[in-house]
Amino acid sequence: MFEKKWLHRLLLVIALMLLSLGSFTAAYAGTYSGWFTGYAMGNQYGGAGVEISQGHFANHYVYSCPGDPAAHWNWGTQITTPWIGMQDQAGRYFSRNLFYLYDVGDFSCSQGNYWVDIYFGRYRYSGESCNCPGVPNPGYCYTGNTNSCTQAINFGRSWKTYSQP
Amino acid sequence: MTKKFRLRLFLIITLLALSFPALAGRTLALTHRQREEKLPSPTQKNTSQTTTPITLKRAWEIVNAEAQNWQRSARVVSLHSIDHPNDSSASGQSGQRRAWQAVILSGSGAKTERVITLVDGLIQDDIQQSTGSEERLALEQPQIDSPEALQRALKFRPAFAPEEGKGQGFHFMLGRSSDTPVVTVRGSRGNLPAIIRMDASNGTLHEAKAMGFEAGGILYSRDAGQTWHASDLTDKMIMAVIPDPTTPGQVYAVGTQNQQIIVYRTQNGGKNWAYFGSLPKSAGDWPFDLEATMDSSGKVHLLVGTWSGVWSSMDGKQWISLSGLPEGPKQWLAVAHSPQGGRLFVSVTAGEKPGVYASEDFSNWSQLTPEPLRLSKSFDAQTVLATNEQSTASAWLLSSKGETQIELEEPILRAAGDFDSDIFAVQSTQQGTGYCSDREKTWTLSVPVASLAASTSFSEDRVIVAGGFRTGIYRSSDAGQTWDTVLSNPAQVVPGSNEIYDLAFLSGETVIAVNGSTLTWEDF
Repeated sequence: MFEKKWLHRLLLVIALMLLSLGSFTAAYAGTYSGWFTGYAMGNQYGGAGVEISQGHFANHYVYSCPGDPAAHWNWGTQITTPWIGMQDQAGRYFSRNLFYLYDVGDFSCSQGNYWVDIYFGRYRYSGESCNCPGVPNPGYCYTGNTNSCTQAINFGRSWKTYSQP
Repeated sequence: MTKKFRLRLFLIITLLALSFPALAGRTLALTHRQREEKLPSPTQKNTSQTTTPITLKRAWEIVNAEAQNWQRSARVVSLHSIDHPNDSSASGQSGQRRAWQAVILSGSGAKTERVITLVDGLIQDDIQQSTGSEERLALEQPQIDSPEALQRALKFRPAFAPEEGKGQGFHFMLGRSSDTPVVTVRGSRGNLPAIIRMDASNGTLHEAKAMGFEAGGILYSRDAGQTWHASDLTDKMIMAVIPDPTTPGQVYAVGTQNQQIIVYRTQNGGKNWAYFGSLPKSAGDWPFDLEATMDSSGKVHLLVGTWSGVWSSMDGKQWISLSGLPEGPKQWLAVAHSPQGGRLFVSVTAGEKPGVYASEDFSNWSQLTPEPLRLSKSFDAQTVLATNEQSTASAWLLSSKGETQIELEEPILRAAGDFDSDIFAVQSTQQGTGYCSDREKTWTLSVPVASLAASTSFSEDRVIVAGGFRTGIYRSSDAGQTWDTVLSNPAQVVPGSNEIYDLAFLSGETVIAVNGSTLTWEDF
């Protein structure tokens, strides 16, 4: 008898907690799959006019790739991806899985719908060039203890699933 | 414990485990939101019908207070307005926006960032994540607020207009440019974003820029793609090329420059190019694709796919927009040739009636599919493979005689080769690039690819060229079973992004490649 009451109360508490999640459960409402590539260095400002930094990503621009539904996503759109490792200016490794849309690329729409281009940073060792494929060279760089372009190239291209609120 | 009790306890624990990730995230968010402060309670959402757009200065005050409440040495390092779902191109005209996004970094040697979203002056979202340490200076309160910044921007550049694209209306940002604190207003010039930056302390113009393109151009090969040379068409944003179906060595290229669509022509196989013509302003400034077809009298018609329609010309000077197609972007074009003339296929990729449309006379159209499909041409331009990049269910073989629905094992982005004989190279949406025949399929090229083209003598030489995406140019002489890297860095021949937008064989020996441009901000 005591056990039954206890279980029912516990179930009620859990139900209330789940109901209070509200918008957070909605955070995983859209799930997509597409090619992930990486880029680095390049322009100081991305397509949104915001200084591009780690934590940002690019995708297709609506005007050049109208057939990609993701091309219609607004600036600032947040996506949750598998964990992606990168190095900070000091060369320390860290990972993140939240990225924000502030740039555009692949104007010929060659990489398919829901393509994501992760920005790996603008750091280079002292004396190195600020060059990287796919972006204007030389770009806008800071000196640090890593080379962001090397990280972007090593990231390569992979098919990943991600979500958007 | 009874067996029933243990079972019920197990179910409850399982339920808890499944909901833990969301619960953990929510707890983390709430931890930072429930603080004592003089601002309205950050956990309140605006549930009334009234909206409360705020200015840049007000947004800074709110997030800066949040930063000080969090940690003494925390600092605001990014602040800009973003779109609210109810925004339109009219938003921001008063200098106020409903939604803002800010980044706060924790103290020196920062390893934690908080991304805060404000809606109607209240914190609606607050996400904390590890970040790398980097030198990001604090953004101080600007002296110029967003309404004044917008007025100044419109005086600086009267052609500055609201944005309609990935942003709606006018947006406002606080940042730094060469260590000078600046307020930026983002709008548009034409159909591309434009920004006007001014000194945050006194409003003087710092710079006015619009999105544009730099570098890019055409390379050519005279030995079926083994070695490559620069043409004289460089530092141009070229989107597509197409050989003239009647004149050997003659090729057309379409690009965009100074907000106009331009067509160029070579008469010597890609080495030298000249201006051929421009589309009217009403065609817009973005060319998606280019085709060329011959009518029954032998005259060549150039075709350019744009947002406004498919534009046709025989001389580059007089252009007409083909009638009968639905509204929407005409993103991909392909012609299946025959001695009697070509059949034109157009893939409309958005709008009320997307799909693939076909016509023999450029005015009467039949809708083949209700969904937009990518179009790949066979080596002899007599067959077109139409594919859905996300589904195998909808694929078609199209020709001047008709169309056949076919089954594919993989969703396909592009293909090149002999579709009638089932021997071709294919780029799958997920797997990579490889070789397909009626007996086998193997994935043989794992680098990112942006374009594929087969030799006009493919039935004998089996040559395919693959244009890379930020990689190089690759060549196969066995229909894609094996590949050689023939040019590891196309930018060393023609500066550009190394995204090979298009490839075209003029003959078994001559090939043209387009090295795409890079995005830049040009003076406005």
